[in-house]
Amino acid sequence: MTAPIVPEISRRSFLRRAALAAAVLPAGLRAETVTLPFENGERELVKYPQKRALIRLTSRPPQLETPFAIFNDGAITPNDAFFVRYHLAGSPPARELLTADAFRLQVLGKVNTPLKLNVEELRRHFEPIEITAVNQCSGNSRGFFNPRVPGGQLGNGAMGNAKWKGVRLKDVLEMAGLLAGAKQVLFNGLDTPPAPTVPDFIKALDVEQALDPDILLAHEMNGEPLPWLNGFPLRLVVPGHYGTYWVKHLHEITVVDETFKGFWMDPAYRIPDTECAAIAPNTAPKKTVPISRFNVRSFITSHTDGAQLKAGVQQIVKGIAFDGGHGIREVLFSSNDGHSWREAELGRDLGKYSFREWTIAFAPKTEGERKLRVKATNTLGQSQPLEPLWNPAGYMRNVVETVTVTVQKA
Amino acid sequence: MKRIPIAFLACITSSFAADEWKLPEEKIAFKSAPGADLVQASCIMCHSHEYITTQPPLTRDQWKASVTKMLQKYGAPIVPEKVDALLDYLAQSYGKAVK
Repeated sequence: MTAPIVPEISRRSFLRRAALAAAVLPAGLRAETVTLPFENGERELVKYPQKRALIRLTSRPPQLETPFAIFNDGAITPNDAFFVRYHLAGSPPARELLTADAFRLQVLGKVNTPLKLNVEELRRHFEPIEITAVNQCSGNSRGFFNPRVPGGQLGNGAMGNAKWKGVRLKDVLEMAGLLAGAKQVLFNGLDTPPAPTVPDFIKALDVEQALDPDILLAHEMNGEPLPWLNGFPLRLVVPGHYGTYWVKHLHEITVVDETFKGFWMDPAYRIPDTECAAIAPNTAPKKTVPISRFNVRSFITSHTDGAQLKAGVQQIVKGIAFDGGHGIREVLFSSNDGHSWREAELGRDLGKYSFREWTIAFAPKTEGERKLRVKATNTLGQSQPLEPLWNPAGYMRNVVETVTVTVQKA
Repeated sequence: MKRIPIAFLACITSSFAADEWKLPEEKIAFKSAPGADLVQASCIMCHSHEYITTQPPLTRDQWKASVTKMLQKYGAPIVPEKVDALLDYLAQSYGKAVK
């Protein structure tokens, strides 16, 4: 084995950083922290550009989680609270690369007419489309896996729901014209690896899937240009699919006539090829496939563990549910740890890819500890397991969630 | 003189000022023990310290799997002869026995 080549510039900047780190922060400047409810769950709350204070998982590249209470504010997650997930240390890309003058989207490879467009040209030449869709990290909730697995130790805040505006990927691909034999479409953003040995973050979709009219090249999020940390000025939006496909700062679309084997498609971001992507804890999958659509999830947002309720006083319990794009049909609520269930009332329908809010009245009669649970079912009849499933990468957690509250004498 | 609404002023002065393109400064905060400098030299070029410090307590074998992945898939600047020392530090400072 030979020692990998390390670029001298990176080494120097590393040494500078290391020197800076030697300084000790005065107590008054120490960051506010939160503790996620699993071992080693203490995190700093940190303010980033265009963001309110979010839960920092990592600083380089930035990975920020939305504090869960924000999901109780409404079905749309505000831009300044939306989670951030990057893979490569050269992220986010520097502003010089993202200005209207500098930024171009190229469409290359097995096409009739390669394209090179700026964002303004995309807006002018293609029909504007708006779609409300959840983005969720594949590893959202990984910290709750038991047994624990290595990887980004996220709570439940690596998800969000926004109104995305842009143009159809399909329309752009059709303008370029796919050549016979086109098999996959590759997506590359301007985030860059810290060394030549680190694989660039490139994702692939099969051509048939890439022509789904719901997939967007989005330049707006909730009526504003995309925030820098969410992919400004252009990102792929693949509704119903995990965030790994939603390539940020998207500048290169390449049509290829083979199945792409890049690191971030294989071996990364793969799930066991089994029912519900689950296998026995601490075993290895026999066969894997790329992760794709969300499974069904639902959450109680109005009450948190340890909340104190008064007996005989009516509460409104509230939350959200979503799935991989078939739409939520039913949300059931239990106030006795799943022994019996009542149907919650669904909120406004913002589309099949969106968070769906739900509410239900609840008047606890007796004092003591109560386990509140919520379970959603989509229009295909898919639902959530009562016990958590397991896979070695910590993806796709969707257990029926439980919030434990205490009912006190009124 | 007509008053210009504040929202309008915000638009023309751009909603994204230059100082907003700066990320918070990074810290390095490894547990102090023999090998901490080795972890800095081997890992910090590609990612910040939290990639290690926020992990659940992992077994030495789990740390070995991570280090092997970093070497083979990402070409981390880890000197092969130092891998054992690196694993000693990770397993002791961020390992299963640590509570």
